[in-house]
Order: sequence, then structure tokens, then C-alpha cells
Amino acid sequence: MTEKRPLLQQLIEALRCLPGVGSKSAQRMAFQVLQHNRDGARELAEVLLESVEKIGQCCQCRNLTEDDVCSICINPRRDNSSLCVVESPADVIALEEATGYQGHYFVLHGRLSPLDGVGPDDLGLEKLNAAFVAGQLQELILATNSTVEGEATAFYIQSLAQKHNIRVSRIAHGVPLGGELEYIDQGTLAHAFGSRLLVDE
Amino acid sequence: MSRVSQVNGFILHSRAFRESSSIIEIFTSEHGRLGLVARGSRASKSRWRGLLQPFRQLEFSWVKRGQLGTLTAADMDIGWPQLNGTGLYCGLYLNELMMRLSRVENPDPQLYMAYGRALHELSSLDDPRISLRRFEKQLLHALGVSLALDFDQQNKLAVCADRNYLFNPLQGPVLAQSTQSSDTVPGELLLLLAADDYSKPEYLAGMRRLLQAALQVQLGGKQLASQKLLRSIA
Repeated sequence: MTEKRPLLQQLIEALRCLPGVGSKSAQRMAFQVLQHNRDGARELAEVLLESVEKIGQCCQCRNLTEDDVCSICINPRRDNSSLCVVESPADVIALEEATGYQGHYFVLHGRLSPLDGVGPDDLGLEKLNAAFVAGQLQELILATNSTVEGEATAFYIQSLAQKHNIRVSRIAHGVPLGGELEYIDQGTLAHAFGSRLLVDE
Repeated sequence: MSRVSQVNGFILHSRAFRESSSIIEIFTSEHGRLGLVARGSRASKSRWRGLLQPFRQLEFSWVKRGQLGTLTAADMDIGWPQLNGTGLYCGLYLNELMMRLSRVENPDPQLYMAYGRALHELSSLDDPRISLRRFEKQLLHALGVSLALDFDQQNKLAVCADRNYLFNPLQGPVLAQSTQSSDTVPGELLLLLAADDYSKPEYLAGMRRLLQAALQVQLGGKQLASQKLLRSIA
């Protein structure tokens, strides 16, 4: 029979599942909670367990929530004729904080990547297509990342939406605010130049 | 340990590795295709952040001990073909073909030229068909597959432009009997493909089927994910 590992060792190992936590940080965290903050640790453990068990995906937009429908989808003041597609729940938070967008979201939890075996079925696109069929949508905003896979995903969704006569827009890519042209990479600058906008007089 | 400096190449694929690194697959003229670990490339302050994207042409430097090398420099942005829409999907198809079929660390300057040309065309031409067919044929050639398009091995006769043939990727063309009408290809198509002449649009679909059949043999019958995706939106 193999000897049972000491609990402290198990705790350190378990903490390493967190991003940015190596063996040294995990050890520091373990000693911190055991020596100085057992109440905090107890609360963390309870919330962690409850979260893992209860938080799932919103049945409409696939954002993370403990309810069937998330607080954005259920809010009657939000505009249900506009839908913004993003890759991750973190993108929803970023857009909510940075913009005054009042429409709804759809979270893909990934991006199309044929070489990694990620296809339309893995991104809940059937659910998105159902929203197109329902016919309430007037504008679809594609806010996937500006990477090759993000562009491939945007193009795929665009071609789905256009079959239903939905107006599709893609977030702009270009010179960052406060950016100086001479320090911007060629790809971004070429894109910004190519999609320049007319200045209203 | 080997150290390689400033080699011109394209990124075929990039995938996340550990927390903030990535593994990139590059295709170079002098060293063929190889995988490199780009340490910390996904960290917020990395000098490579956003740079190591598929299709990008850069000058790479790396050190290599075991199977995977480690990227030490990626600079001199040589170019980035702006692939959009269908062109982007065709580019992903090229990359998937390269990842599946090209041999690791097998330098092939001709294939390198062909890949670069195909990418350039996909970013600048509206119709990707000719670029894709030309590349598929060059890739087969690089894999040592001889299609022998202009010779009927079974009857020991040169292919005639005005006869019809049955084409099997393993046996090449065989003169079709007059009673066989379906699934035959015109001799003219075979001769034009052998000569890399893609000027007759009516033959492009037939050429595609023929090259696909030959590629399928190499792929062991597996369908490519990018191709499936492209078909689903076409």
C-alpha cells in the first residue's frame, strides 16, 4: 500500500492549478492561510466549492452565471435587437467597462481553429444560429480577437448571419489611442491605413 | 546543441503552451518545417506578443537541444499577407496540408517558394483556385509523388488530348473504354495539368478532384478540418 501524502503537500500541489502559481508561490500561499488566515481560507474554500458546483453557462448567451439566464440577458432595459459576439467571458467584462454598449452578448468560449480541431460545434454556434433564425436581431457585432483564428471565426459567423439579412459589423482595428505611428507594427499600421475613415466636415 | 541565426521563414501554426508561452511551427527555406517553443510569448509585456501569428514571414533565430528548439529571436518583419474571408480559409488549408504532409526538418527551397507564392496570391487575387491547384501539385511533387499525368502505363502509350481516361492516383491515367462515360477525365486536362497550365477554367474542377484524390492517398483518407469548414460556409 502506498503511503498517503501529507495534507500540506496535497494543498501545495492543489494550489498550483491556479494561473501564475508555481511551487514556490503555492508553498507561500499554503503557509499564509495555515499560519495567519484560517478564516479567510475557510471562506475561500466554501465559495470555491459553491462556485464550481453552481456556476454554469447562461442558456441564452453562454456567459458564466449561477442562474439559468444571466443578468445581462434578463435585463429588460437592454436592446435585444443587437448582439455582440466575443471569445471569452473576460471580453464581456472588458466591453461592459469600456463601452456604453446596451445590447446583448454571445460568448463563444474559444475560437475556430481547424488545426487544433476546434470546430463550429465546440463554440455553440448552433445556439447563435437559432438566435439568427428567431428574427429579432438587427445588428450583429463581431468582437472576436484580432488574431488569425479570431478573424476566421468572425468570417464564419458573418457568413451565417448574412443568410438571415442581419447587418454585421466588425470592431475596428488600428492605431491605439496615444500611439505613435513609428512604433506600431507593420501589420496593424497596414490595416489601419487600409481601413481609414472619411472625416466628416 | 545547435544554434541557428536569422533564417527566413513563415509561421504555419501557433498554439498556447504552458501559461504564457506558445509552440510555433515554422517553415523555412534552409531548415524545412520545425517546431519551436516561444518562451513567454503570450505574456502581456512580451516583445513577441501579437507577432507570432500564422502566415507571418519573419527572420527566426533559435537554439536546439532535443526535439523542440527554443526561439531566441523573431524579427525583421518581412511581410504579412493580409488574408481575408475565403482567402484566409484557403491559407489555413495550405497550413494544414503543410502540417500534415511536409516532412520535418527537410529543407525544400522549391516548396518554400511555392508556399510563399501561394500565400501572396491568396492575399491579392480574387479567385484562389489556380493558386491552390498549383500548390497542391507542387506539394505532391515535394513528397515524391509522381502523378505521371502524360503517360498511360498500362497501355504503354502517351496520353492523347482527344481521348478520355480513368485516373487512379496510384496507377496514373488509363485509357477509358468507349462504353465508360462517367468518372473519366479528358486527356487534354491531364496534359494541361502536367504542364502546369491552368488557363482553361472548365478544367479546374476536374483538376481539383484529381489532385484531391492524390492528396487523400497521402493523408491516409483523413479529411482536413479546414477544408470541411470552408465547405460548410461555401
